[in-house]
Amino acid sequence: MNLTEITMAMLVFALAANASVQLWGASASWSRATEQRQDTLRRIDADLLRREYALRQAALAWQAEAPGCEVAAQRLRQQLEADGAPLPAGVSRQVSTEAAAGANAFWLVYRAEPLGLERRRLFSASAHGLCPPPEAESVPLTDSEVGA
Amino acid sequence: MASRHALFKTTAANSTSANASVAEAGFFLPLSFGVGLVLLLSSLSVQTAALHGTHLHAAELRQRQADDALASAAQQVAAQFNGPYRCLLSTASAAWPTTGCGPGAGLATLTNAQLGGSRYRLLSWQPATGELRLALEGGGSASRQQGLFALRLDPARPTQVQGVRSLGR
Repeated sequence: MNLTEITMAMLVFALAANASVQLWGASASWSRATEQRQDTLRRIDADLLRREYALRQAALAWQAEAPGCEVAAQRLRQQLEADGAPLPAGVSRQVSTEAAAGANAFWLVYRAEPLGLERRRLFSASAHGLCPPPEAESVPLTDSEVGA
Repeated sequence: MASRHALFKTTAANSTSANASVAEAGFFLPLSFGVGLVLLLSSLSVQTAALHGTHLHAAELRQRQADDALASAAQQVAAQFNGPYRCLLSTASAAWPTTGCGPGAGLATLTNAQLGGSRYRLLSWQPATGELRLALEGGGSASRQQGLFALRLDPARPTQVQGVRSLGR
């Protein structure tokens, strides 16, 4: 055993320990970030499911009431915008109109900017049977038209 | 005889001392290499696990976004069944006429359309069971995404959809 060997051994050990600590630190940081993103995703999912269920229940009542397409669309939007369980910090929820579907369909959009996460789902008043068509137009295909 | 014995003992003692010195001289460096290697390998292993977790999360997010796109497409298709494509609601998709609900109408906007940045395709519609199957089109793994939905028809007026429910993939 001499001084050179001890110095070399300590140097090798110090370098390995330093690299190891840095790798552990980076791994812990990634794990924390992933856990946070997963938690955010889960809570967004729960909020989305709650709203979807509430909307389905409300639509059943509205169908019986038949308030008309415009009123039903307004109610649908209000239902989507209604306050619910608090979202995680940094997550925003917005409701916007789908231009191609007139004023009857809305996008429910969740954004978490710092995490680079976005989810969007369309809800249509017409898809819930709240925009009844004129009776004259509801003519099913005839036998001769089917498979034409 | 006694002196020869003493000489032998001295020589043996010197030899043992030299061997120990050689062993001690090569002890610290391999040990530090070994410990360093173990440290590095363990931390690399932890990092690989963390990276794997990140990739899994990214895949989960893509899956949820595909589910959202499919659910949105189902809403759009249901709205179209209650609108311009009402005449097709009581007919299985395999028997739909290419003209759709009237001359010049076609099926393109019902069976293959764009919605919110993703393109979907209607694979099948079975009025008997109310099952609608859609597929997302596009690059990457999204091209393999399919979704099955149940459309709830009005029992009193089976030409109207009253709701959409996801049945999974």
